[in-house]
Amino acid sequence: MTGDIKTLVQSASSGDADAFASLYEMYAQDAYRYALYLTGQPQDAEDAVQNAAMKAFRGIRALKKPDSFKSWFMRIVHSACMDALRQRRTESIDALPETAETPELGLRSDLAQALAALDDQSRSIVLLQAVAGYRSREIAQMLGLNANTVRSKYARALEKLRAALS
Amino acid sequence: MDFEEKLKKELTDAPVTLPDSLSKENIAHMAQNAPQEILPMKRGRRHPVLRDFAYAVAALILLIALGTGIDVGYRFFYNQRLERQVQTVAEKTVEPDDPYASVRQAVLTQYLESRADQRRKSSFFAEDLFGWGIKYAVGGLGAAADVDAEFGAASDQNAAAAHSETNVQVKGVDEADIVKTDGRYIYYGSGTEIRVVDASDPARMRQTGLIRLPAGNVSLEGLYLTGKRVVAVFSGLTQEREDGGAEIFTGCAIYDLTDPAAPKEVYQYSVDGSFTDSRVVDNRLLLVSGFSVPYYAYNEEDVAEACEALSGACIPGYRVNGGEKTQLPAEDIVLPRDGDCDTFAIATLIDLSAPSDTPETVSVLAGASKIWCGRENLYITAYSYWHGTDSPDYTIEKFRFADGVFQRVGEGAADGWEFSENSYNMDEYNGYFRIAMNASDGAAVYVFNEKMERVGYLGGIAPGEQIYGVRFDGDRAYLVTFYQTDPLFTIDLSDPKEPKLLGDLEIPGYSAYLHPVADGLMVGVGADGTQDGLNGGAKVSLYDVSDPENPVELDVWTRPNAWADSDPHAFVSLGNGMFSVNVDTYDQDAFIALFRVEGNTLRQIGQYAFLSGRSQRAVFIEQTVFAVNDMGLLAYDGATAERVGRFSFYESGNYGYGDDVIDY
Repeated sequence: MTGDIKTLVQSASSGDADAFASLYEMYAQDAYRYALYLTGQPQDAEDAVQNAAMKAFRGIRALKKPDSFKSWFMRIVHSACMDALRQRRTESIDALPETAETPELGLRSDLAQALAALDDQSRSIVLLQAVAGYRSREIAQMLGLNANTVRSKYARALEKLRAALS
Repeated sequence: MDFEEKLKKELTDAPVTLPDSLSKENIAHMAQNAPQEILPMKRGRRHPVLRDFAYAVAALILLIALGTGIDVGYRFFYNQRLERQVQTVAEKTVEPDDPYASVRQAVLTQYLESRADQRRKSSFFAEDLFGWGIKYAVGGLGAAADVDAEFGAASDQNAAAAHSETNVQVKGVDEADIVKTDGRYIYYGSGTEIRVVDASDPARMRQTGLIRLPAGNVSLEGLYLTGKRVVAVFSGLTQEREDGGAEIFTGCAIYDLTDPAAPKEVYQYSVDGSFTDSRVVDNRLLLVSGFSVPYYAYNEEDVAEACEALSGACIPGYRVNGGEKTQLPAEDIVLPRDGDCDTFAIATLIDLSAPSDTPETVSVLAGASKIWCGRENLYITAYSYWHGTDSPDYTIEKFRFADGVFQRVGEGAADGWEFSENSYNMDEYNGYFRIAMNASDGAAVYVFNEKMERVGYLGGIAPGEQIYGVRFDGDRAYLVTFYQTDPLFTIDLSDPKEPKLLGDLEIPGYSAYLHPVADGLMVGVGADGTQDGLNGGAKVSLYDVSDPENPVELDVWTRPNAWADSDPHAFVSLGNGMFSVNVDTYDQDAFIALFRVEGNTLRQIGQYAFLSGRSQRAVFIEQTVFAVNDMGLLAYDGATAERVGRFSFYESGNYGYGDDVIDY
């Protein structure tokens, strides 16, 4: 089912699951890629995107500006990923910090490790910009920071990655 | 391709296959079975008919004012008429007798200029002209107050036990932390809760009370103890906007703990913007937030509609005790010289002994990245991302608050960028403000006078290296840079107009946190290494800086496969040359390492493990050492290192994790 975003959001708001799925499909790849690199675990990423999609469908009537669907959806995905990361930390009481095994993310291993070494927030910022193409102001809104802080964290994260990959 | 572009390309080109469970078909199938939420009517939402009318009026005014032939489109702004036309649109959207008129105009002007700009540039830093490809240089300023404090004497009458206190940068200026103690209770804060643990008998620790932060999507940034009260500072998100966007706020709550088993909230305050930092000085709380005007939400075709919405949403406000939102008084909002920024820095001053319904506030449209706070003056720093070629990279706003009212004193500017999360790269001494930053040709130290005029500068320090640590100590500054090995630089600041490099010491590894421990002696916490770089171990160094031209490393403690926490709050100063550092390892539980400086040597005199997992905070009460982290507390006899008590947050009866009760 094709159609412009406004129509799809309207239909989805009235309960049309197919319309929602069409909306979802536009951003599914980006969302999954983001979740995969942010959580570093394919299973967690899958769960997060699925949870986010369901949450988005259930709450789509709250979205008054259809043009904002992408940011709105990505924020829900981000939130679901943070929940997954928190959950994993609480469970792995006796686990050592991330060392040896990095599951297959499709990235070269030193990049995957360098990303994993960043703190969650910095990694989110790098990925939101690189994968989802957001600007510092949009990222600031999504993460509850101010734009200045986002820019400085991004710059520092970039330096760390550069140092780790050189 | 530069590094940033290469990184993006790699991340987006890497092969990623959407699993079947996430296919469109499967999601559609799942959605069929998911019930949709019915939204309650929200109070206070503007009546749709009135809103449409307002837009119609605005559009009409614009049409009439701009006349025909003026195409309020994007190519509009690419030519010489930009300024005049921006002015026209901004003027027409703002009522002339509005006390906030100049603020709204400044915001709209920037918005319109940024729309024009965004069409031209496409990188993340479209608004900046930072040369991020340039290597970091050294920096670091930090004012070390006096030589480290002794065990803090209990500030309130009942808790008589000697106990450690938060390691603060400036004596008399308290900093929020996740763990605090009054000598009897240990307060541990995380997420939406603060646990009150009675540690008077370390063998029988118990949680006597639990403080729940105000409802809503809040997260604790830190807490303070003052008398019988706990002050929590937090950041939060509300979901109130029509476009699904969230409003970010910063807040504080004061709890009375006369009865530790029944904490009572006595005051609550929230203000627009994300949390920047906080301090408590003379029983007054300073809360700083950064409110980014929601430009991106108005990124739509209709400029008039965007301006109308933005004009209505750009004045920051606050709430007391959950009441109606009050806008900051117009006279409290300052537009800086250049007026080019998208973030309001907002500072609030709350008298903790008599918190007000209308607390003292000030706001400047200049961004909020970090603060430095002394007993009388507050400095708020920010990146100025908007560039003309003569615009500085970094601005510093100075406010006096000593008399209970904010007074803007001045604004300084520096070229360069930050390297650390904490405030130790800044310091005020004898009225002069000093700051160290990375710059394009090496590290730099800037000195400003009381009016924030730049009077001194020392640049080009260690080009090609990154700043890792900094400490200001009166007339001196110590700077640590690192690329492969670590030069420790000593800088003479006795003449504010002529900062001078005195000496340097080249050693392997680096120190990220520096702490003066006695006359001429300084401790460094950081990473170990060889001539070829880091070796993955933790390091604590003892430096002799009594001869500033020849700093010497007297002794060093290292631990392979480990890292030492260089967060200043993870360092505990106990006086008499004793201090503790938190160490995390790859092969065993994290631990507190207790040291004593004995003559020219650094001796480890104790080691106390944390309860499974990572390090967080060390607390010392009398002779007992408490290792506190998100799993719980372990108590040790400081002298024998024997474990005497254990309190896990996750054992039945001990938990309390918001609405989710974790059942073990």
